[in-house]
Parts: sequence; C-alpha cells; structure tokens
Amino acid sequence: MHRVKYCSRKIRSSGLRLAGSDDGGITFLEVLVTFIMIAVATVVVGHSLYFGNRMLDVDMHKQQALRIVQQELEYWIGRLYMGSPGDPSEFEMAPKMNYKSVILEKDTPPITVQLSRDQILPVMDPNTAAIAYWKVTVWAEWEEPDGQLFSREIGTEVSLTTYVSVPYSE
Amino acid sequence: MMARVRKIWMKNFFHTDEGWTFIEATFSIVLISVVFLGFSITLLNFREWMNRSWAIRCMDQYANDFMSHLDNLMQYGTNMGTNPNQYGLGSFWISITNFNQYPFEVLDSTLYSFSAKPTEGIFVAAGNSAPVPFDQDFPLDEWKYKHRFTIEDFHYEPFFELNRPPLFNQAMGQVYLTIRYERLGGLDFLSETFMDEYSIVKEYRIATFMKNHVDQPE
Repeated sequence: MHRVKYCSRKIRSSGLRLAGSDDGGITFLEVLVTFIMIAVATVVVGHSLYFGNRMLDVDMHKQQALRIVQQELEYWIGRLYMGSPGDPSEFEMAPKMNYKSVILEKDTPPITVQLSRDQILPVMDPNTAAIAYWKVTVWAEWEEPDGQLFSREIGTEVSLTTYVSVPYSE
Repeated sequence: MMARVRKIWMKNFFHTDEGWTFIEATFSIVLISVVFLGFSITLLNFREWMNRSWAIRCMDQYANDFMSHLDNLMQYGTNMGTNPNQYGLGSFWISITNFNQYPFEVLDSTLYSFSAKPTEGIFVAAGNSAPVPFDQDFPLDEWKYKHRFTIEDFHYEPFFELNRPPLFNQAMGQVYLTIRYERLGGLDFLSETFMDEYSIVKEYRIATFMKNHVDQPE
C-alpha cells in the first residue's frame, strides 16, 4: 500500500503533464491537437491547390488535342471535298484505331496523342437518293504523365464530328 | 549538496505547477517549427509551380488566339504564300476572297500579311496598311525582364503528301509557330527569394483546307 502511494506521488510529480491544466495556460495536449488540426488543414489546402493546378493542365492538354483533331478533320474535309467516286477509296474510309501519333508535349515522358477515326459514311438525300454529305468523326486519346487515375472523371479523350458536302454526286 | 542542487534544478526546469515544463515548451516549439517549415516549403513549391503554369498558359493563350484568328481567315482564303523574311523570322501572306460562284462575282477581297518579331510578337498588316501587333500584351511580362517570351519560329509551309494532286496540297495551308519561355535565374527582389533558371519551348501548328482555293476560277 505504501509502495502504491509512493508510485502515484512519483508520477504526479514527474515532468510530463499531458492534461488537466489548472493554471489557465495551454496544455501540451492542446498544442498537440492544434498541431494536428493545422497539419490536416495544410494537407487539405495543399491538395486542393495541387488538384486545381492539375485540372488546368489536363484542360490545356485537352485544348491542344482538340486542335490536333481539328487539323486531322480539315484533312478529311479536303479529301472528300476534292474527291471523286472511288477517291477516297473504301479502304481509306474504313474505321481506323490509333492510326497516327502526334507528340503533344516534348516533356519527360512525352505526352503522345493517338488519333482514331470512325468509318466515313455517306448520308443520303431522301429526295434525290444521292449523297448529300459525308459524316466524319475523328477523336484523340492520350495519357496524362501521372496516370489516368487523376483525370478518370473528366476523361482524356476529345472527339469532333463534321458533315462534309461534296460538289460531285454519285 | 549535489542532491540538493539536482532537486532545485529539477524543480525549476521539469516540475512546476505554474506553467509549462521545459519539455512541453521544447516539444511545442519543435512541433510548431515543423508546421511552419512544412507550410513554407509547400507555399514556395506551389509558387514555383504556378509560375511555370502561368508561363505555359500565357503561351497557349497567345498561340490559340492567333491560330483561331488565322483559322477563321483561312476558311475564306484563296491563296497563301511566303513573303521575304522580315525581322529574321518567316513571313507569309494570305488572300481572302468572298465570292459568289453562280454567277461568279467577287464581293470582297483583302490581302493579309503576317510577320513576327522575336520579342515583340506577331504583326498583321491588312491590305496596304502598316503592320500592327496582333496582341498588344505580348511579350506578356508583368515583372519586367524576369520572364522572357520569344518567338523562335513562325512560318508558312506548303502541305505535301505523296499521291495527292497539287491542287489539294496547295489548298491545305499550314502554319507553324514556336514560342520559348525563359525565366532568368537569380534573386527576385520582389519576393526576396532565389529563383532557378527555367525554360520551355512549345510548338503550335495549324492546318486548314481552303475551299475557296479550289473553287476560285482559273
């Protein structure tokens, strides 16, 4: 009994007081909780800033990819506009996956845009039974350098569809 | 004697009911230092990151504005060609014509000339007028002489694809624009921090099929 009392007195008089301030000051526990709260707030704010900046990056890549798709589409507008029956050939107008690679940013590692094209299909005019215009769809896919996980929700794919009228008729 | 000194020392530094103990105060200082050091490093890194993003976005914005403007002109373009070099960079012209085909009638026709000065941006001249800057804000330096934007390449290149008729290749106009961003290293007096040297080069390209080139009469 005497030994227990002695030990508790020893603990009470030891240096570390974790809680139970009687003198109106801040206890160590309070500082610890404050530290944790500030740390959590810093991490959350830091992550928000990082997230916002990455979103702007992905958005910028999307804008650049859209321009690449637009250029590819212009090529096909030209081909069809200047075409004739049999040109472009059926083989050329068939759907193609990842048929062209374009470097988006020469960073390390570089971001490469893969272009794909849907089948180029004629849309008939119901009155004349002739080809009214052609439908062309081109899309681009790319991979962000820090993986797809981050941008999974917004996607790394852009697509454009256009209708090309042709001067000739079949 | 020693036991008494130790007792007084222990009482003063590790055991008092009137405030923090020495260990508590030391721990608190260490923790708060860690928090503020970490936070400062995060802010500095983020500042650097934002600075680079800002530069890239400035270039993108400028190039995209110009490309969109040029794309719009090329939709009505009949011809494009290369001018003699001006200011050390490529220069080209594009003629814009609005016309009716049946019967053929030219409604409006203008010749635009584009040229670029490496540190002053792209200049546009419509008809016989003097060249004016495409964007007054170039070179985009808000903190004078710390951030340098330079146009490294600006030229028109005839499109070429084997097995395509010359008319198609002539109608596909393409223009290249390369911008370099460079941040000078050294002490930044505004923020009193040392900034590393950083540079990035971006190339932009536009290609548009000019239907008017095909449709114009011989």
